[in-house]
Amino acid sequence: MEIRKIQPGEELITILDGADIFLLDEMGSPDNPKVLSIKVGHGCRLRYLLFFNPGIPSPYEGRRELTVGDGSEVDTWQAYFGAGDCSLNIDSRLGEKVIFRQQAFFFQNRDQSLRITDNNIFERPGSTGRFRTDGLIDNRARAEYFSELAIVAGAQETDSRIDLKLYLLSPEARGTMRPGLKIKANRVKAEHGASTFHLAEEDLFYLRSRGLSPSQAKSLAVRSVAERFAASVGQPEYREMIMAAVKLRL
Amino acid sequence: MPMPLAALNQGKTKAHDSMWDNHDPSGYMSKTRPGLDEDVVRFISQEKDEPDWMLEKRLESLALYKTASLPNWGPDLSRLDLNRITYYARAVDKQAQDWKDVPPDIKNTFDRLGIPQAEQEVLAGVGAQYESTVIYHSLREQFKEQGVIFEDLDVALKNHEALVRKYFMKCIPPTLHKFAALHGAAWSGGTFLYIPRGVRVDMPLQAYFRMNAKGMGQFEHTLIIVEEDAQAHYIEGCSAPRYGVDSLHAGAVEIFVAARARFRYSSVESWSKDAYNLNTKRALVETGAHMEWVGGNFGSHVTMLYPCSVLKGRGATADHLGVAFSGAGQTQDTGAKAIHLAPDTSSNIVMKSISRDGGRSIYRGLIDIAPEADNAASSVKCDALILDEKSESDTIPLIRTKNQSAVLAHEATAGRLNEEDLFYLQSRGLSEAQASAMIVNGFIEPIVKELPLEYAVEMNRMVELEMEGSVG
Repeated sequence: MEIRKIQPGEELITILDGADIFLLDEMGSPDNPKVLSIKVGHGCRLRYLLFFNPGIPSPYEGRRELTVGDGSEVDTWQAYFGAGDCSLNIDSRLGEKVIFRQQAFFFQNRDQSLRITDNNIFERPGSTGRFRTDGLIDNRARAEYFSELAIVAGAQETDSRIDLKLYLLSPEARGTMRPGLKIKANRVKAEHGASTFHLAEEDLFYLRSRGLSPSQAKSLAVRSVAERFAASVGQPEYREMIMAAVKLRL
Repeated sequence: MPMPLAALNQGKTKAHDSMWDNHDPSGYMSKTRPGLDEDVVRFISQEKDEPDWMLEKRLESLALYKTASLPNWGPDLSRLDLNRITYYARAVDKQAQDWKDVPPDIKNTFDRLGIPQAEQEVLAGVGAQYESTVIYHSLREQFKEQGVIFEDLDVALKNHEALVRKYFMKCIPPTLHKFAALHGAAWSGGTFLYIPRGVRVDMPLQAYFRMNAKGMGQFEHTLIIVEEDAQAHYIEGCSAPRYGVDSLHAGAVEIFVAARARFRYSSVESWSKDAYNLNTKRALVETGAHMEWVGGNFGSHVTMLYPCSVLKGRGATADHLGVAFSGAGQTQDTGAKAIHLAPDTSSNIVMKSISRDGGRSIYRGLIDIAPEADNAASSVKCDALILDEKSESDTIPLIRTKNQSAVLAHEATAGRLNEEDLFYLQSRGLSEAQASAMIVNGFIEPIVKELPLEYAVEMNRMVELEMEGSVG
C-alpha cells in the first residue's frame, strides 16, 4: 500500500487502475488546495482521510470531487475540526460494482460553524455504499450536515444506506440534518436514518456518582464517539492525529 | 369517499373513471372570466355580501400574491398559466339543506360519489361544494343541540362573524407563500366547523369538493375550531374531471385544537390528472391536545402538500399518516411538518408512497425543535415503493434541532416489491397484477386502517385500480 499526501498546488489526482493507496488530505494546511478532484481507476483499493485542520482559516469554503472507477473498493474518513466558519462540498460518483464505505466525524464547540454538503451519486449498477456520520456540537457551535444518496436510472442492484447521528451537548448548540434520497431505479435498496442523542440524566447521574464532574462526563462522551471513529482508520499515526485534535478541542 | 354499491357492481374501472371522465354542463361559466385582478376580487366579495374587513383582507392578499415568487424548489410549476384559471364560478343561486333541492345534474354527480348515501348511513353532517360555492350542507340535530356549528364558511361569516374573524387566516397567513396569498384573495366556500368545549362528536363529519368546468380553480377555506376537551373527526374528499386543460386547487385548512382536545382530519384527494393541487394545511395544537392527519393523495398532475402541526402547548402531540400514489405524468410532492415549540411535545409521522409508470413521488418534511422544547420527541418513517424502471422517488427530510434534550429519529427506505412475496402469492393462484395489488395494499395498511371502514375500502379499491397495468 502506498501512502500519499496531497501536495501543494495539486488540483487533480489520478489513481491508476489496480493501485492500492492511502491518501491523506489535510484541508486548511498551507497550500492544500481548496478545490480538488480525485479520479480513482478501475479495481483500485483506496483509503482516503480528509482531515479538516483545527487551524483552518475562517471563513473557509472547500470542494472535493471523487470519481470511482468500476470494481474499486474505497474507505473514506472525514474528520472535521475547523475553526470559525467552514463549509465543504463533496461529490462522490461511483461506477459499477464499487464498494464504498464512508465515515465522518465532527466535533464543534465554542463558536464554530460547519456546513457539509455530501452528495453520493451511484451512476452504474451493482454498487454498495454505507455512509455514517457522528457529529457532536457543544456550547454555541452550529453544524449543518446535508447528505444525499442519488441513484440514477440504470444503476440497478445498488445497495446503499446513510446514517446520521447528532449529539447536542449544550442548550445553545444548534444542528441541522438533511439525509436525502433521490432514486430513479427500482431494483435497489436505498435507506437512510437520522437521529439525535444527548447525555441522558440517568447517565450523567451515574457518572457523577462515580466522581466525574459534568464537564468530565461530557469529555468522556466525546472521546468515546471519537475513539470509535478513529479506531476504524488503519494508520496509527493518523488515529493519533485525530485524537490529538479532539483533545485540543476539549 | 365511498362508492354506492350499484356503481361498484358496474365495474370498478367505470366507477373510478366516472370521477374523472364525467362532467356536467357549465353554462354558468359565461357569467365569469379567467384571471385574477382587483375587479374579480371585489366581485367575489360583493357576490357574497361580505363585511368590509374581509374585502380588505382579500385585497391585501392580492397585493402580496402579485409580488410573491413561485417556489424555487419542488416540481416545475412554470407551465401553470395562472391567468387562464377561472377563479370564481357560481353554479347554483342558493344552498340546499335537502338533496331534493339540489339541481339534478349536480346531485347526480354527488350520487355517483356516494355522498348522500354515506350521509344517511355513517356521517354526522355533510357539506358539498361544487365549483366555488357550497351547494348543500347538513348537520344532525343532536349535534346542533350540543352547540356544534358545521356550516359553509360563507354562511358562517354572516352568522358567526366575530368567531370567524378571530381565527380566519391566523394559522395560515397570506404571507406564508404565493399560493396562501392567492387563496387569501380568491377563497370561496369551504367549511366552518366549531366544536364547543367538552363536546365529543362520535360520527365523522364530511365535506366533498368537486370542480366541474374546464380551467376551473377551487379555493375553499376550511376553518376548524375545537375547544378544550372536545373531540371530532372530519373527512374531506375532492375530485375534478379531466379535460386536458390545467385546473388549480389552492385551498387552505386551518385547525385550532385547544387544550386537551383531540381532532382527526382525514382526506382523500383524487383530482384529475390535469389538476395542480397546491393546498396548504396547518394546525395549532395547544397544551395536552392531540392532532391527527390521515391522508391519501391520488390523482392530480402536480401535488404540493405538506400538512403542518405547530405544537404550541406543553405536551401537545401530533400524528401524520399519509399515502401518495403517483402514476404516469404525475408528481406527488407531499410530506409533513412538525414544529415543536413547547416542552414534552411529540410527533409521529408515517408516510408511504408508490410510484409507477413514470410517476414521481417526493417526501418533503420538516422537524423543527425550538430551544424551549425540552424533551421533545419525534419519529419519522417514510417508505417508498418504486414499481418500475421509469418511476422515481425522492426523500428530502430536514431536521433542525435547537434543544439538546430532544430525541429525534428518522428512517426512510426505497425499493421495489419483494420478489419472493410475489412468487409466493402467484404460487397460490393470484395473477401478477393481483399479487402486486395485494402487497401494495398491505404496504399502505398502517394508514388505511385509520380511516372509517367505508373510506378504507374505497382507498384500497383506488390502489387496485391504479395498479392495473402496473406489472413490470
